[in-house]
Formats: sequence, structure tokens, C-alpha cells
Amino acid sequence: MKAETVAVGGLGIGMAAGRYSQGRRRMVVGAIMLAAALGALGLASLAIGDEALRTNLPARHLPPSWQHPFGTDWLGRDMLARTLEGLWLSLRIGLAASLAGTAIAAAAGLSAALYGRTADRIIGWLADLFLSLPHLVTLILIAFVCGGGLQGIMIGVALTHWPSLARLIRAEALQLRSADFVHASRRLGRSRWWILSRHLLPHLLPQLMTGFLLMFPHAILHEAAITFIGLGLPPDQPAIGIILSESMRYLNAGMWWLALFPGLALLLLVRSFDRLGEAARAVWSPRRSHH
Amino acid sequence: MALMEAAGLGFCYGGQDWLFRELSLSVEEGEVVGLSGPSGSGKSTLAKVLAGYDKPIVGEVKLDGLPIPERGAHPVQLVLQHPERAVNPRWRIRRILMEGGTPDAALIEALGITEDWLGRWPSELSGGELQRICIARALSPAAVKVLIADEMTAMLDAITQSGLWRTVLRYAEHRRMGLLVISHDEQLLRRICTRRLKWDELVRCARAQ
Repeated sequence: MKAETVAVGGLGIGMAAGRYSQGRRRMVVGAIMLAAALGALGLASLAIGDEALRTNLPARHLPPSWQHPFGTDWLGRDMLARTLEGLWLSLRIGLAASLAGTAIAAAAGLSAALYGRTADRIIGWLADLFLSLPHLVTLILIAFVCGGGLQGIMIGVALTHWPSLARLIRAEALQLRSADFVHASRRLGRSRWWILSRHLLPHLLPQLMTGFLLMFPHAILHEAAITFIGLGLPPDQPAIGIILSESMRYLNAGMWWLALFPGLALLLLVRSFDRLGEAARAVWSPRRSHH
Repeated sequence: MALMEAAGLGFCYGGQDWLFRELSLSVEEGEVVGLSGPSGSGKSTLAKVLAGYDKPIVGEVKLDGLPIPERGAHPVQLVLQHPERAVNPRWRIRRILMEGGTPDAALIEALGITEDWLGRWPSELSGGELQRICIARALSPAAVKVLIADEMTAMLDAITQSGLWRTVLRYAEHRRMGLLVISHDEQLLRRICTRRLKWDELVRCARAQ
């Protein structure tokens, strides 16, 4: 029956369907590979333990070798172990920060759309305020006020990254709010909360997921950036930002491995989340989405 | 006293010209009122205002002489021309049908809704089938006193159309409901209505007042 429909529908429909499922397949494969890489990263960081991160002065400043694939730093610590630990820490920070950012965006976007003109104006003004400054500037201010550390970074990233997603959610919610089926639901006696949770949120879920995936690499990069300039995590935590910042002191002594491998690893991680987010956006875009 | 009475209704979309003003209209118990008029004149907007989808800028809709409460099932239910817009495309038919409560089993049967529709998605039903679901859903709350059919059967063939109307009319009579039928189909209105209204006259007598 289905094959017949496609055949009758002609070449155009068949091609569109093919491209569509190809995008979806790419996204699923990407998600599985990334999940596997993250699982391996988590396991590795658990397995490493303190042994590899201990100071070992006789083995300092070693270039990459089979024993230390990423080399060692000025305290003789294995850079592979430090990089994996750093990535794992960055991931957890990124996850928490972008989850919080997505939650703020959802709350702000929905409130702007559903709670009248005053709420809309206030939230719009706040969004403009955060968008008008470069993220990093606001982030530095917030992290500084919070006294640096893990908490400061997470609050900072969450507070700076919500506006663009909130705008998207607001626009979608405004459109949904005036949809016939939402009106009908209300007049069949359903409460606002019921409609919000059964009609609006499920419709907005793909946008929220995409927003979250696209926010994730930003969160990690900004964490690294702010730690790099010294306002983020304390130096005893092996965050990627710390590693990169320390490596600067040794770059002119020719110790390229201190910056290259951790930097590449960060780039790879961020880029794969970015691609996954873009693929998700293409697959879940409201025009193409179906039940 | 009229079952549903709208007095001095006025509506416009966000600061534009009035679509209608000082419009008055009433529907009695057991009455089938037909309303026809040119496209784009505001009939559908009037239907949405009467059914509580939009708030009138001026005037009020009353039921049995009392204002209609904001919460709870609205006693004036609306069935629109495009059923696919009136249902959530991500819900299965069973959930859509039960949204306003459990519809009368006899009505379900009379409308020809079968068990195997219930597990499907809205896109897997035809327009006519989906419209039956919308009718059953609109009639399911016990509070419903008036049904507004805005071009309800415009996309259906003549035989399906007459079968559907027979069911709806019989059910409305059984529950002593009022019916407001908005349609371009003069023949349909002539056949089923107990009273006819023309949009131009409604608006003209409002202007004359």
C-alpha cells in the first residue's frame, strides 16, 4: 500500500522522502556515535584515577611517546589523562548549564507568549539586554559576581544563552496559542495548564531539544574561555580551559603538545555536538515534523 | 427567553476596521437557524465570538439570560470547515475524541465512527471521517446547548452530507439544542432550517438602529 502511494505520488515525493529519511538516519548515527564516545570518555575518566594525575617530576616535559601519547606537562602528569578528565568535567558543566539555559528559555518564551502584553514586553526587554552585549562580557560579569568556580560558570552560561531560544519558543507558542485545536480544547473545558502540558509542550519539544543541543557546544566553549582567562574553575581542576591556559606559558619553549591535543579534543567534541544539533534542526524543523 | 442571545456584539482584529458592530442574534431551543452571506464578510468570526474562541470587543453573548462562564465546557460549541486544523496532529483519534469527555455511544454509532479509527493519527483519516470525530467531540460535554456548524459539510459529497445532517439534526432535537448553520449552500439551508438569516440584513438592521 505504501509503496503504491509513493509510486503514484511520482518521483518528487519519493525523492523528498528519501532525503528526509537520510537526514534522520544521519542524525541517529551521529547521536549513537557521540553517545558511545561520551560513554567511553566517562568510563576512561573513572578508570584513570589519581595515579596518572600525580606529580612525577623525573618525567616532566616529555614529548608524545607510546607511553604518554599526549606527552607530559611541567609536573610530569600524563596529558592524555588530564585531557580526558578535563573533557569529562567540561561536559558535565556544559550539560548542567545548557539544561538550565533551555529551562529558562522555555519558561521565558512561554510566559512572554501566554501571560499578556506586559510580561511579553518585560521578557523582550531582558532578552534584548542580554543579546546586546557579547556573551563573554556578560559571562565574565556574572562569573565575577558569583565569585568564579563551578557555580559561577553554570549560572553565567545559563543566564546568557537563553534569549535566542526564548524568542523562538515565544514565536512558536504565539502561533500555537491561536490554533483552532487549542481554542477548541479550551472551550471543551480544559484548563490552561492542561493545554500547556498536553498541547503546547509536546509541540515545542523538538525546538527545545534542538536548542539544547546547539547551546551545549557554546556552553563548553564559554566555560573553557572563561576558565582560560582565569575567572572560571580553580587551577587544581583539570578543566580544558585550565590546561590550555597553562600551556601558553610553555608554548614558546616549543612544547606544542600541551596545547595541541587538548585543543583538538575540545574542538572535536564541540564540533560533533554542533553537527548533531544542526542535523536535529533539519529533521525536527516544524515544517517537516509529523506526529 | 431565548436559549442563546447575543446583543450589541462588535468585533475587529487588532485595531483594524469593525467587522461587525451592534449585531444582535438569538437562537431558541430546538431551533435550526441558517446564516448565509458573502465570503469574507465575518460570518466565521461571528461563529468564533459566539463559541468563545475570541472575545467580543463590545457586547455580550448570553445563555438562558446569563453570561457564559470563562471556565469549564462552553455551552456553545463550534464545528469548523477544516477538521484537520481543529485537531492536534500529534494526537491519536481516541484521545481527540475523548478530549471533552466521553461522547454518547448512540451518537458515535449514528455518525458511523468505528473502533478501528480510534488508534489512527488524524492524517490517516479522510476529511469527512475527521469531521465526524469533531462533531462527536463538540457534542460530548453535557453542558452543550447550542451547536454552530460553520460550513461543516462543505467538503463532503451530497450523500455523506445528507446522512451527516440527518444524524446531527436528530441528535440536536433529542437534546433540545439550538443549531446555527453557517453555509453558502442555499439548498441545504432551505432544507434543514426553521429560520433563515442573511448576513447583509443582520448587519444592515444593525446599521439602521
